[in-house]
Amino acid sequence: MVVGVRVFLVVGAIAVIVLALWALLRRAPHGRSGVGIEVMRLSRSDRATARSHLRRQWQSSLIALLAGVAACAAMWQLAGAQPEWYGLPYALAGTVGAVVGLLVLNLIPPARWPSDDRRLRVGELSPRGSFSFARQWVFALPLSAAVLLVLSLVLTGLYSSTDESGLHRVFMRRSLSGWGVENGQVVDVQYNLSATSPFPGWYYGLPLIVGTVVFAVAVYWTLRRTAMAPRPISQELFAVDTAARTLRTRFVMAASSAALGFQIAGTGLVTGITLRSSHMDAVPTADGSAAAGQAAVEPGHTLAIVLILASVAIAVAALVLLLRAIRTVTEAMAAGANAGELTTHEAP
Amino acid sequence: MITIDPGSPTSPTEQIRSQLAALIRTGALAQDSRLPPVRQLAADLRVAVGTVAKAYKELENAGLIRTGRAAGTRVNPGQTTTPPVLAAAQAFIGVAREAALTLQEAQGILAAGWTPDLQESDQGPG
Repeated sequence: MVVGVRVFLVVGAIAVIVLALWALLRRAPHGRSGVGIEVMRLSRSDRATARSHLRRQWQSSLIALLAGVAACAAMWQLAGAQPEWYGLPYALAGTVGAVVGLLVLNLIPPARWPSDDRRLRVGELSPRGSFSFARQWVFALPLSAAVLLVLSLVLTGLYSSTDESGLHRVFMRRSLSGWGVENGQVVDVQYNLSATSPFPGWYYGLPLIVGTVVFAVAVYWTLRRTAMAPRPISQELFAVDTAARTLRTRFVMAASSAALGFQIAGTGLVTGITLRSSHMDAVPTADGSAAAGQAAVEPGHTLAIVLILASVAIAVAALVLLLRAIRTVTEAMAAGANAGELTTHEAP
Repeated sequence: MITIDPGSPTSPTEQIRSQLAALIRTGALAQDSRLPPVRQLAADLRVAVGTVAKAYKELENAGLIRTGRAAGTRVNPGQTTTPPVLAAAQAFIGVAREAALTLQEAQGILAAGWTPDLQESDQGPG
């Protein structure tokens, strides 16, 4: 039964990964992207300006992405070096990576359109905000996931118990500990409290909740900065500017949603494994020479398996989002390069 | 869209105020429509935040817009110029263009025909 579930899990995970990658590749642009098309429509001089702007944009995005991954890797190293922290850095790796990445993205001086003091300047009368450059679900979905994560952490915190060090990081439940056999009958069944860890109690939950809130604020701040940056002074560049902001917003949302997804998946997987093993009980048997069997305690056992499967699916979705974030960088890179080629060819 | 001409003798505040007022009067900015935040417009036009804030304040004092903390800056209802005036203005623009007049020249003709009596009755007492 247990082997069957494992095989099912592995096959299911592989199938989901293959399907997701296939879907991603199928949707990959074969020609020029939106921003690339907008760049091609520009005049020669404007194209050079747009190329320079896009080059700055993809460079900062790439540096931020690498900084985030490096911070995440550093947290994993820290977790290995500090076993007395009971894997807390593992739990925080996704959040720390995302916050560091966003911080770096905001610290790099933004790509600004050139300004000319003698030229007529155009001001747009539509208000721009953090959520102006992507569809609403792009923001609503990760926000809902973050709220759900915080609520789940509060719930697991309430159900957590302290370990021998007084840290809220174990799950306790009554389990069968022993029994007697008298005249072929099971008698004197005894129970005890068994603890299983790691469990996302307050020890992991509180830093994760704080980290998630900081993370959400960092995402909002980054999106706002992207939206509020000055428009180009020339109206001819507005379309490419909109496309560049859309690309930047997509990068921020894809990368941060991926980090959030990995965090939810990791927390869910650990919780699921802990709950699954704690929802197995010994079966009393009158045959004293036979080894005691094990029976699943329902519905906890099934719910734990569902949680594990959901976590694997979320991890795959997070991987797809990470690839999408990388694709936005390559898209800006390609658009900048296309513009550059044309500028060179058309130059007299 | 509004524009700022750095070479114009008119101050940037007045350029912003007059263009926004014209857009509201002609109905191009509908009632209750939201104007961009001061910082956004100032950044786009490459002017100081205070310049846009002053223009907004003057429009607010003239009753054309209102500013709320949560709702932002919005166009007040009932500020659109009446259709006969708009139609007459369109006709005047057509005739002025046919006569190859520039905007400044057309505005000068209007200003010359704008008698003090008319101005006083337009502004009202106080």
